[in-house]
Amino acid sequence: MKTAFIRDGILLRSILVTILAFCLVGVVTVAYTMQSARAQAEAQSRERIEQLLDTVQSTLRVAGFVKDRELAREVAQGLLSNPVVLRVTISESGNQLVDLARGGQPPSGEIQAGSLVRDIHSPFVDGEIIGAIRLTPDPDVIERQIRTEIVDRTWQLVWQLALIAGVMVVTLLAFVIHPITSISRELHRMKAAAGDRLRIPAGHSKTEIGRLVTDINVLADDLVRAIDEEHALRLKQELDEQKYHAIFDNAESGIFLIERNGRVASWNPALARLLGIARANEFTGQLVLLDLPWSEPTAIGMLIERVFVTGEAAERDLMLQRPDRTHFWLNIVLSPVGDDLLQGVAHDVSAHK
Amino acid sequence: MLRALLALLILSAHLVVRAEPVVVMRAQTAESLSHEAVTNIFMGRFRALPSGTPAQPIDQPRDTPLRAQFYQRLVNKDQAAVNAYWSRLHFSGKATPPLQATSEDEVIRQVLRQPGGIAYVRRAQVDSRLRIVFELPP
Repeated sequence: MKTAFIRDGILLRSILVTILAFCLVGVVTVAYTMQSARAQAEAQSRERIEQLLDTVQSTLRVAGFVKDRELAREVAQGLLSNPVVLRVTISESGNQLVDLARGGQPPSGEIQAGSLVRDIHSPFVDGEIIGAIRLTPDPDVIERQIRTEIVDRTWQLVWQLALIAGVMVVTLLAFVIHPITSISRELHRMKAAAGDRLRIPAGHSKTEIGRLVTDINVLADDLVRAIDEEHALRLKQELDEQKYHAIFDNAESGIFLIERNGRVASWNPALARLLGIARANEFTGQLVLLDLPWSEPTAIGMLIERVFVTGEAAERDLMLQRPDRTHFWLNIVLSPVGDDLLQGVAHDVSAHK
Repeated sequence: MLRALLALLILSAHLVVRAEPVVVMRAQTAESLSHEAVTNIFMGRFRALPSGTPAQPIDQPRDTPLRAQFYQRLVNKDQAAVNAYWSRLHFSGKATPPLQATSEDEVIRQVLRQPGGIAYVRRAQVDSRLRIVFELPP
């Protein structure tokens, strides 16, 4: 059962959905983070190079102003000590003062395209441009820095997502799954008719779970009350039926039900005694009223026909022959009961004839 | 009283004008220099006059007000900044600072001694042996 709970229960589904959702969010977020981290890392690299140039700006102006190749070389070598810088070219009024590259090999044209060029201004005349410096960054170094940045940020994001997912799972477990499991277990064992009711889990008296338990208990109360009422009604009905059976069975008059074709569907012991036939529950075959030994066989048929046609009760005295060949008179009263059934009452009126 | 004050004001202005630095060369020279050319010569960028004659700039003695005033008006730098500038260039030896004179008279003597000699002196020091080749803007 525990295995089934883990496989089919809310806990596993919740965890799976949470993890899936976080994976989805994680993939989207990591993709976005990679994109933004790359842009940011590139901007940072460019900013670092700009800062490098700012640092040597003053010396660069002096070197450019006096066309000092040695000083320009010192500046270039200083810049090349930074691993991001691949090549430095300093020129004064179009004349190259120095051109230094890491490893002595000038980079390809494609790499040169990413160079940063900045004007060199005169140290003494504002706005006068006396030369330029071209600084080519090393794309491999920048790429490595970008990758490191992306990996760091991705790991940071993954950890954050994992932590949040873990907290959500624990929260679900503590505040939802555990109480519901407890309620489910109690509900499984609960015998409502015996008065068992669910307990509200601790700390949930005002939560949705508390309201659910309260509603279940109210429902159980209503159900038990309805069952009790139905039971009482059934007992009363059985008692009433017994009374009616007693009246039917103990009546002095013959009482019976006949169908449109004259077949007697049911009769009481009094009619059995009058006609000299077996009781209804002992009779074999069919009892047809028209087939009885009437002195006027058509009269009973006409009486039945009349009641069905008029829909009103009718009576007639009819003479019937007993098995011992003697005759007696019956007063037959027929009343319609529904469309195809008549209720009949028979009295022995021989004494009045 | 008013006349006395006015006379004092005129005298003060005259003295100020006579104390301001002007750039001079020997009287025989035909050069006339721009602000940029004087800057380039004194700050070591070029050491030649527009005519092609090698130029030899001569500085006033250290820590004199005239020297400080000259550089402040020429390149808008105080003396410390100018010293720092030359310190940067000192180790490479590519550019050398102007010749350092020991006195104002020595400055004039150096200018007169060599054809490309160029220096800044107080306007009051300018006589027939010297020619003003550039006047600093006010």
